[in-house]
Amino acid sequence: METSHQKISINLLPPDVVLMQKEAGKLSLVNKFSIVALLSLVFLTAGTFAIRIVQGSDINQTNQSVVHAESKIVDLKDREGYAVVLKDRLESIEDLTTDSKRVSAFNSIVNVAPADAQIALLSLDKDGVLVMTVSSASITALESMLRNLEQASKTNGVISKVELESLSRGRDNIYRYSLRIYPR
Amino acid sequence: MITETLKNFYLKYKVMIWPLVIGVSCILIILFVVIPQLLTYFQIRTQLTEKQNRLGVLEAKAKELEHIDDQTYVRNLQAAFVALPQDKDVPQVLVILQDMITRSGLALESIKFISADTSSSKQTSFQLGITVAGSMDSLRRFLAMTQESPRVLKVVMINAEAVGNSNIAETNLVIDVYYQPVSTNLGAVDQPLPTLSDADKKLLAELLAKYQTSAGLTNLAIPLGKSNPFQ
Repeated sequence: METSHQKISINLLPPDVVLMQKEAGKLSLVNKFSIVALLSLVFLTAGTFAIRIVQGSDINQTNQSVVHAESKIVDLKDREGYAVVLKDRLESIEDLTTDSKRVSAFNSIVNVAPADAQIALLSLDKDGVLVMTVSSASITALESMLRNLEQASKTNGVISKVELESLSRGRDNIYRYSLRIYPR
Repeated sequence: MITETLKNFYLKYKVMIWPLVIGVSCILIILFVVIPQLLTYFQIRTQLTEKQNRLGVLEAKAKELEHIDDQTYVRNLQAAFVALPQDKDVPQVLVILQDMITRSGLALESIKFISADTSSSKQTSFQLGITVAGSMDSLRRFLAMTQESPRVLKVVMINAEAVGNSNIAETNLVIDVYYQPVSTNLGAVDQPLPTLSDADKKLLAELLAKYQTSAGLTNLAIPLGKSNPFQ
């Protein structure tokens, strides 16, 4: 004998009532969604307000700290003045002392003059061009001097060009020559 | 009649009315409350970050200022002001030059003003012309001393002429002497505190050494005449 488990559903309600129940169900669902949406929005709005309040308090606290730090700096203004003036002055001194080309050029050139050469005239102008008149008993002193001026190691590399302006030998057998030396 | 019409309208569209009202309310709240609040939030967050950064900088500066040793700074400033005074301080430069000339073995013949003040971007200078006599070695020694001078000097021109056939040369030197008035800008709250670089520290050490060795010169009171003019 076979057992059948078939389910038979018979709606005995009138069609109007069934339609009304369907509409009521739909309305209830819509209402639930609306309430959920409204509540979410309320939470979102409340959240943004809460964040803004916290943020306002943070900014107030930061402002107070900034004012406190500023007043501390203003109280120590003298020390700041010391530091600014010292730095400014050191920078100026550094600018002025680094440019000592003229003295270096002068010292280097006088150094390379041979012992038997006598410097009669030496002139260093504002552009650092050095004109010197030298006298010596022999021409080898001039050769030696020019050779020395050529060597950057002996002149610390301060010379860019050397011109022999004049060379003469007097009745007294003394050579007199004039050199124009340009700085680098 | 109207009530009846409204009732019918409600019954007909009741499924749509509530979602519509809530939807419109949501949109209005989002448009006029939530979005402006969020925009303000982001703006203020940026401001807050900027303020916190500034606070960090200010606190660091205040801390650095608190650690500055007044005595050391005053001493450093004194050394710097001897090297580059705030005014001409002619007596000081004359004493320094005279001392260097004597120590180098030269003989001073004359000192004169050549030109009045010339200003560059920051510093101002005046020119002194000095005439000295002595050997080339003494002149070189003197020039080397000008580079080690406690006051900033720059030799601009040198004219040396041998006297006869002797080793003695008469030399005219033009020297720029510098000074720098104190700047009116002594820092501002938001201006970072200047720090001394390695080069600055090295220079400062040199200045302090010169300041110590030349203390007698730089603090020297110049006698301007006889103590008793009737003697």
